[in-house]
Amino acid sequence: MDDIPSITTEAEADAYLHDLAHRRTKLEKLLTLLDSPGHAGSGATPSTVVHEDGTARLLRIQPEAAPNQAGAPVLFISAPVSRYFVLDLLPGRSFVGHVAAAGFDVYLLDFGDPDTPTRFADLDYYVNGLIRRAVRQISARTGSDSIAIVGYCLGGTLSLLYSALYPEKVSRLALLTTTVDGDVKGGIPWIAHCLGVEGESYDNPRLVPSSTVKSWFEMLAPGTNSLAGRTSDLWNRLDQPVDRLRDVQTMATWVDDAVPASGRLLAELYRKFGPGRNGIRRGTATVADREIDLSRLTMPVLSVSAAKDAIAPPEGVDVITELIPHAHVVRLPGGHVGIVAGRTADRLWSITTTFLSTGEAADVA
Amino acid sequence: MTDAPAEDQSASFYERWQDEQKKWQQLIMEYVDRAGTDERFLINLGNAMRGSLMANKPYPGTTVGGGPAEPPVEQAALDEVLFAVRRLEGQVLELTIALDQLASRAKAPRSRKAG
Repeated sequence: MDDIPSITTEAEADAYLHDLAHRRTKLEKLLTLLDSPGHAGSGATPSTVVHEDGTARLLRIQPEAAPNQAGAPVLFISAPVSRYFVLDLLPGRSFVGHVAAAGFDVYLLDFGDPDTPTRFADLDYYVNGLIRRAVRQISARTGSDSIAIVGYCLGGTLSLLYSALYPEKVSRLALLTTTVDGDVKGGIPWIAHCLGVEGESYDNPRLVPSSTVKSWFEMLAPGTNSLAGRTSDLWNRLDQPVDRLRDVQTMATWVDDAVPASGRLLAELYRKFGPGRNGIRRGTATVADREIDLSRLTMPVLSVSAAKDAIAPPEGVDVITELIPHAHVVRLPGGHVGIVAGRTADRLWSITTTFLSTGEAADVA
Repeated sequence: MTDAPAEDQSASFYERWQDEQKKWQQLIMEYVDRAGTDERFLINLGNAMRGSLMANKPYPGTTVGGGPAEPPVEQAALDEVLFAVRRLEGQVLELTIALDQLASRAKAPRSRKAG
């Protein structure tokens, strides 16, 4: 704490009182912030559960004003190691809400809270099980033989694998911050390599605790996650309006509210796609012994990377053009969460909505 | 940067200082009162200090006994069985969806005729 300064002039007295009042205002603002409801850990847009599968749920997004249908149904898939609500963060700041408001019939796959049996869940369970059944359910409900898929982060990896196995079921594929080169430094596979995820046992897996999952994400953005660093960051941010603070803090909430992860899934991801294996880039990826052939992806493909992404570095994302030459590749300024749910996220939302409509990537910047 | 509230410049330094002290005392008492009576306030304050607005839920990793939970060995076999059952349930679910699809396709021509 600063010492109380010695005051010898009127100007010094004014400055001292002004500083005191400024600090007090910040603490009053914090009190207002603490009284705000915070994030309840669920999506912001009204939705109904149309399908349940183990711990997973398929949500149909139903915005208050639902215009006419604008194309094939759209399935959003987030990462199974984080909460789905990053795609539906706040009223007016919801990716799925934006796409639904544009007239699409939007579904969101929530992998839920994994329980201890989930530690045995592998890629086959996620791709050939949960995702495949979710797509079939949407097709059954809507009568559409194929649907559009938007995958985020590891959800993008699962979407890519699913689309390669069942290309006839996917009319458009949008991959957001999805790593396809596991040898690129940074990113989940690389962090797994550095932090010992290779130690996760495939044969006797554990349910990896949420605090452990979270610590991996923290390692990707050093300097901002120590208690002192975060408190200092909060103190500096308290100069901003409360509404702005709520936006930022809600994004932080998503990062904080990690979920436990299947040890078997992580072990398999590492074995197949981690540094040195790099199965997607090298064309050696398999799911339940079925080979992944990316040349089967003839539908329009969009891949979006974030220039400041510490979780999925853009170099490991944009290289998808070497694997899928017709893929539209867009690199946006911002970070992993910011481009999806931050104050400038509407740029990504517009690009995605245009892509879902036309199959083309028109940047609106 | 947000400026502090306007101060009454006609008052003496001592009066303004005294007024500011009262406001600080009120604020600190508010914090102390809330901390002593509202457990959720403490949780939310702790979360806020970590940059989070996670409401009414302890910050991950701060739960009591929250170390990595390696389940007991005997739990492993049970979990594996439960997960195998879940896979089977998924397959049954898939069959149900397929049957529903067949049923709706079978109905479709009739309803077109009716229309």
